[in-house]
Amino acid sequence: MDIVLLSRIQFALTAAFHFIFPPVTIGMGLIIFLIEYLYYKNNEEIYLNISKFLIKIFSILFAAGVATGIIMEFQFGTNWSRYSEFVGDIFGSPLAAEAIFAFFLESSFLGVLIFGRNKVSKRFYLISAFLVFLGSALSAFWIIVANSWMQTPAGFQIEGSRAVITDFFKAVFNPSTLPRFFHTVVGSIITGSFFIMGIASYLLIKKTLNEFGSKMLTVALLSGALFSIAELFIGHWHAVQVTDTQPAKMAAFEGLFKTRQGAPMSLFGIPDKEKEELQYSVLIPKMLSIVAKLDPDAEIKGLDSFDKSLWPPLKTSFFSYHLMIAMGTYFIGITLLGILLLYKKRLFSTMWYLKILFLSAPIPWIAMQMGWIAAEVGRQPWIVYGLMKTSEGISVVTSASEVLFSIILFSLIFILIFVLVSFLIVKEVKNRLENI
Amino acid sequence: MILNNIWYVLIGVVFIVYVILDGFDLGIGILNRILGKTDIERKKLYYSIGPFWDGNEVWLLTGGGALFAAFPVVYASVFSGFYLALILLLFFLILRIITLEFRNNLQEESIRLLFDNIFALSSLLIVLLLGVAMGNITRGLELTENKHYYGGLIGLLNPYSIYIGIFAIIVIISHGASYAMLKMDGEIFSRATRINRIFIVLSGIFYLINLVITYLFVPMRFANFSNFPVLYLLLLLPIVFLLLSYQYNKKERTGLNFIMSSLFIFSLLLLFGVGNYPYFVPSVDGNGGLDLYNSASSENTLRNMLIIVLIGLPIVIFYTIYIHRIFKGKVDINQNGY
Repeated sequence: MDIVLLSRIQFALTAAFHFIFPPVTIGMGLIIFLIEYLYYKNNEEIYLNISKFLIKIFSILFAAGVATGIIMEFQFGTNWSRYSEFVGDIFGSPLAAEAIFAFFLESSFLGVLIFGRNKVSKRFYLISAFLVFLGSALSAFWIIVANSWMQTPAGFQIEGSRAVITDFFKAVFNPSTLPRFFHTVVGSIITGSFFIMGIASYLLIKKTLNEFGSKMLTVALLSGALFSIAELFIGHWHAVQVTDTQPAKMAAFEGLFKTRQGAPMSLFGIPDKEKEELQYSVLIPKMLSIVAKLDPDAEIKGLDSFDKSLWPPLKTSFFSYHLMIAMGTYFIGITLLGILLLYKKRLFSTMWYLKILFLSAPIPWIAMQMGWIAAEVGRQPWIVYGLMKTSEGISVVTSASEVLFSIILFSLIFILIFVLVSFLIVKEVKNRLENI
Repeated sequence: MILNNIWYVLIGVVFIVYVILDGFDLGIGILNRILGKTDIERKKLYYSIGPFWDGNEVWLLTGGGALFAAFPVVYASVFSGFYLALILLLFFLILRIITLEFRNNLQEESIRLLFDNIFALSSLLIVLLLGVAMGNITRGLELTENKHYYGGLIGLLNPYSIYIGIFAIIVIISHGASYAMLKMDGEIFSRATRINRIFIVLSGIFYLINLVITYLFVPMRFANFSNFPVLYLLLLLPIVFLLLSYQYNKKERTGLNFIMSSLFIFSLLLLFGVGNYPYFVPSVDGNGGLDLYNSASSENTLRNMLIIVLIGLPIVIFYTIYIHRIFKGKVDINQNGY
């Protein structure tokens, strides 16, 4: 098989599998901190028990995140050596900064959370919980700096065969860094909230009206609702930025083939690359112009502005983007319904709603994965947008059979991790259920 | 140019701290079945490294990131050239994290035992792989004109490098045992003391043989020493630290023993750095290689990164020490939570 394709498969596999864990730990980190804060303030033992339970699950997920994350630090060098040499002057710095500013912080203070409850003061423990969350958010920041530079490179010049930094701050705060950082972190908090809502719903379905599940559900639901609504605005901000800085990507997301004024937004459709049209389309007239430019008659670039060889894969970009948005809309609806039930004091006893929440727990994960597929596939055929093609970035020395070997090896260990993590979490939840 | 040198030293420092810190938990890993005869004893051993191993491993990630940032050509060339070796290293690192983190969550004693065995084996192979890599770097690689290495995994398995790999295992076993002395009491403590003593002696023997075979087979590693003869004094450092370590082991001064064990590792890696300077990866024929000039990032990046390190690292060191103090003393698993 082709080495470029194999290397892309390996990167997609390792990144997507790794990315199961960081979002949920970022979100759980915030909720654990909130619950620790409630315990600190009110001194009610129920919050202590909830926090202890969540920290156990958190530590399992975190360990899996660390284990799978190690690959990410090294595989730019192993599989993408030409890319690494081309961007090393810029791309390496955020990776190093991530380790120095984020990894040390989260790993060190997680040690306190897991092993230090009786060794430190309540205040120090609360601060540790906050620092674990802060560390994971900082980690998201630096890795998104690196990835955003691949999307919208800035603050550099080309010298010979490599990109050299000219302005560190412009490179770090390139046009897409901030919208993508907030978009991802808020998405992560939604993921963590829905995961905890799912567990709490399960506990409430199995043992009606228990206080443990009720308190846990309330905190997670409030956080889930708040951040789902926030994501609407942040997602919009990000979409505006993509339209401005990566117009080919937005055109692929929307299936917009022709540049036009008053561009419509597509609710559904199937992009056809040959006929250059969006088939079976359901459109809202002028909506894309309104959303992206705040002007119903604004011109939006279509795919016809770009050479066909520079189009991203259309179907993947289109569907991943639309699925993400559909799920984002669902998060707002379902959490607002929950708030309504909470207000009417029926939340903990409405079985059908709890069942929906339980089943909804994995959906934010899918939405996050869809978002990243849209972001990364939408960038193709570029590895660094406008500067280097993906096919030009692969390693010089590495052979296809070696990459195939590593794909098999990683797949095996990922299966092991997935089974083990699922088993351990189910076990912790069942244990908890017996002790309510 | 001074920045390149500063970064050569900084990469070295990060790597040394990694070996000293992750070294003790790798050592505990290798020894877990020997130091801990029962399930409870092994649980105690796990608790002794539980709060730390992850932070320790971050030094490796920091090293990887810093190498990428400061010397991207080394990062790209070595990691792709050592492809299979590195993939295996990652595989064992992952396996080790999984077994070490999840063993106490499992109920079945037989599965826990299986996890303990995998934990020991993966720890051992990680140290072996890193040692073999260091051996190959000392020996030099068959680099092409474009500074690429095509030798594959087989090319890395030469007698000299395998010797260094075994030497690394011996040093890390001794280091792990000295950490166990610090954190354990009773039976485990006595076992650790005995193992530590034996492996201090073995480390000394292996070190002396290492000097001889390096002199015979890779004489160019002594070039820097010949140019500045005062550097020859550094060759005595490992012996001094080993002798002190042996004394403190006998007196059961566990803290000082652990410090001497750490300094021994420091002195070995210092020699490694001095011998290889200015190369990261010298060519085996003695003609050039990847050095701190031809593989470096721009001055701008080296300066930016130095600022990041100067801001970030003191904070990291501060809270790392602070947290080690929280968990000071012998491990007591009856005390809830540690």
